[in-house]
Amino acid sequence: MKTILVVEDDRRLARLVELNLTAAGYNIVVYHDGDGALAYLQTNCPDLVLLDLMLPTVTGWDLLQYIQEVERLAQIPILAISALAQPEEQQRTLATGATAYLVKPFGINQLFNSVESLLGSPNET
Amino acid sequence: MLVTETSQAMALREADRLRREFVSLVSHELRTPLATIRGYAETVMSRPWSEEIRQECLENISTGCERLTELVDNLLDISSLEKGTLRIEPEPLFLPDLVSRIVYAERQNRARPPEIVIRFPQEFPIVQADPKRIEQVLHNLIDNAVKYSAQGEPITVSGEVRTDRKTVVVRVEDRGMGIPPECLTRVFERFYRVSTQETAGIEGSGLGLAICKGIIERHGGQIWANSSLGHGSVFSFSLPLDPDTKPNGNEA
Repeated sequence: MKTILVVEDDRRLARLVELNLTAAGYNIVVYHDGDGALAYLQTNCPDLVLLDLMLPTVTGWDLLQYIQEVERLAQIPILAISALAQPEEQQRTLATGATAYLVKPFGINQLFNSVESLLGSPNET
Repeated sequence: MLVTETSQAMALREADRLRREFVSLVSHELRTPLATIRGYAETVMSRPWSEEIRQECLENISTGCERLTELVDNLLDISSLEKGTLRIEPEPLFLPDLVSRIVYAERQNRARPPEIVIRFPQEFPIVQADPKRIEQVLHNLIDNAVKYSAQGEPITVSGEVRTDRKTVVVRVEDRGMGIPPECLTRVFERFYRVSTQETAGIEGSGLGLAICKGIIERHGGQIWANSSLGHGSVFSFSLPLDPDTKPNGNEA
């Protein structure tokens, strides 16, 4: 089963993503802060990271940078999810290493389509 | 002359920058509750979920709507304050009761309830104030104290009567991250938000304290902040005690 790391400090949104992606057949690991996600990434290698950007202390951009710098993790696709809608922010995030960018509020189908395009369907190998 | 023009131009540029920053902040603030509402509404319709999960989705939609309403209300309050039409309806108010009620609600409404200590002298005078507006101020100050503190750091809400017995002062004290001295004078400005590494990711529209200042000044009181970076902040407001003291400018 493919594992998706979800890093989102808004608990309701984290739960929303978890609910839908679990039902779709993915294995979901959720962290509400960057520190927890960072610790998780030190010993794990998920198939995809769903990353909120405005996180307390360790931000989404910090995590992006970390993932780029660690060889073992550098190939993981990263879907940034943010309420920052300005094109400059999207460009900056994609330039920092995000594979795709989803602006809040997003539709459930947009979420499924983005995840599938980066990862393939849940049971594909 | 040249100096005056330059400083005017600088003030205009700064006002324009704040306005643009405000628009993008409001956009960001609106998008988060909208994401909750849209996401859970689409979710609940997408599959035959269990009754428990359907209920969870509906509760989240409802909470998202509340947050959105709060934001729109704040925007209206700011607009009323700018136009000078914010309504204050004073009545006899016993602040310790109001504080207890707000603190109780804070504990009930949060998944991880903050530790809030209430300290008022046994005998506390009744003030003339608008209970809903003072509740709004206290709610805002307590909410900020929680937002800018780590989990478990205690918050104190206290009251005192000044020795001249003409004013009461209420303080909301936290042991959170504190405010850099250069930002302290600006925290009550509309649209202004402290932006440091520590505050990254903390949500807010930069309106709450500006509304608090407006409300307290309409009551004839004052609001101010003290802070020690890394050790916490104290937000205090005063209200006049003399029952004959007319609330400031209640002509609207």
